[in-house]
Amino acid sequence: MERICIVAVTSCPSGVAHTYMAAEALERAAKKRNCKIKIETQSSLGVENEITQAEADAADVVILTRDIKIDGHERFAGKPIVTEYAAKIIRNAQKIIDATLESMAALGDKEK
Amino acid sequence: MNSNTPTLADLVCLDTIELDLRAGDKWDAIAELAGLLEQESKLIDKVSYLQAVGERENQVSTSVGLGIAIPHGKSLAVKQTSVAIGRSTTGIQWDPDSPDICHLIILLAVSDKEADKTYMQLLAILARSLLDDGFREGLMSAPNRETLVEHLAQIKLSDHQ
Repeated sequence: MERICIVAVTSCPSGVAHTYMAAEALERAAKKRNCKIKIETQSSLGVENEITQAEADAADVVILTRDIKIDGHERFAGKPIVTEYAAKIIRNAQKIIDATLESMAALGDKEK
Repeated sequence: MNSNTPTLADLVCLDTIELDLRAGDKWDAIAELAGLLEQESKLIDKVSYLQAVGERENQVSTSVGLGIAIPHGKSLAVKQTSVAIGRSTTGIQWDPDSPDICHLIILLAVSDKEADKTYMQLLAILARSLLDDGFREGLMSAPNRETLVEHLAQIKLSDHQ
């Protein structure tokens, strides 16, 4: 099976802590399931590890925090998008990744 | 700060660490830790800093599971971006409507000054490191403040760039 490719953007109101904790939690959870993942952080430090249009196009699924507006949302037009609060991602990253993978698999089955 | 190799230890000093918080609830814990930051001259104005922390806390609770809370405030009332760390043996129920009991409280004081960019990068690394079981365990079980600072000093900015 080809590795599922995820891109994610995390952000939070003060852009200090939750942005990074959510990014780290997603990264750990995705790696556990052998997914490729690239995570952009939008914080007090600006945009780091920016996701290019080409990377967005190549992704199977997009995960975005929903605490505040994400910049560059248009990059992900037409992609399946999962949105969740940063705090929930920090607590439940593995569940969120697993549920995302399950729904991707279900989607794939339908298309066959 | 040692400009050659900044580490997470640069965010704290011994006297901004309290291994046995007296506080029994979250607002007391935040106030107790803010008091340490004030004593170490990290704040310009404790009252308005605490207001920023309170506003943030009331938006969304900063208890993140894992027995940790990371209350924080970004404010002009912060002189230098710094961190106070408190441990509570009995634990603090962070929110009345949540079962979360916090044993490790990490209070972030954030200045928005460009000059503090390195400290901001260190805060980002600290936040990420808290997801690491070994790192968290090190902070939770350190027998004294010096050992806790040693754990922080092992995480270097240069390893994350």
